[in-house]
Amino acid sequence: MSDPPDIDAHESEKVRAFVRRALSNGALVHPPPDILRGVQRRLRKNARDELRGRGLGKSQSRQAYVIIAAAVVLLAAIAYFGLLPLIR
Amino acid sequence: MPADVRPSAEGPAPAWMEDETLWVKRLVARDEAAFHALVRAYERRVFALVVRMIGSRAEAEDLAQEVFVQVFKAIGTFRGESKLSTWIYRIAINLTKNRTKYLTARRSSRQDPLEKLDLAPGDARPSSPAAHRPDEVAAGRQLEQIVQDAIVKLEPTFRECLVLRDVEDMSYEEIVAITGLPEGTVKSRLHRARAQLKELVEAALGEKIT
Repeated sequence: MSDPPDIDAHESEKVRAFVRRALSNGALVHPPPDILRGVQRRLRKNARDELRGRGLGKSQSRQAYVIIAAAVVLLAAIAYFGLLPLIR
Repeated sequence: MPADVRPSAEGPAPAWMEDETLWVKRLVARDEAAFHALVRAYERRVFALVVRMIGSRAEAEDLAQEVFVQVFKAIGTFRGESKLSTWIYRIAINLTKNRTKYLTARRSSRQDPLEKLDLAPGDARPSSPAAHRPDEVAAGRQLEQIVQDAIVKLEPTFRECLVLRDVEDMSYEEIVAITGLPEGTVKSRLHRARAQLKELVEAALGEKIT
């Protein structure tokens, strides 16, 4: 926007008074929305996303549990069959 | 509790709300009640500030929620060097500036029209005891729309000074603390914002501001 014509201090105060008067109706501001509910929803979503990111989300943690369990069984089997000839 | 924020409608405020340091300690400790009280205390002013800067209720609601999410995430970095309210308004101003840049880029590519005030009768408060007649209420809303459109058209750096001073009625000291600008710069930008606004409003009204 190009520079508007300058105004003096008196006019400047007149504009301030005009703006305050014009916006006192508050049609854009009222009624105020319920911000808290939206904030709670976002924080819950962020927390879920963070857990998922760390691999601790519900479905991912179940997957990790199965993989770890399978690895433990495999290690136990290797140890058992590896040591069996030595015992005999 | 600061004098400029809405008191809780659910009975007397707990003692920690009267002492900002205690309140912040609870917030840092992730106390849910303290955070709810914070949102309730500041939601109206944050929404009012953001909606005047951005001109759209839907965008402002989304942005006001984002402000409190940022407050929740960053409360651990609040060092108490300013009032908690100043810190919150600073976050609100910065997020609004970023959103404005994004919306300006999107509008210029899509040519989205600005949201117009379209409220059912009775949604808005009467502006003054004299403004009860339907024609006066309608004229009041039309004038508000013209001024709101003009605010959104101001240069962003001028707009924030005008909204903080003339709409939110903050002191120069508070504006300096929120924007981080020297007082002289705030006054100069405010003066230029009023001159720009006067020109825009007079062009829309087709008459001089009285």
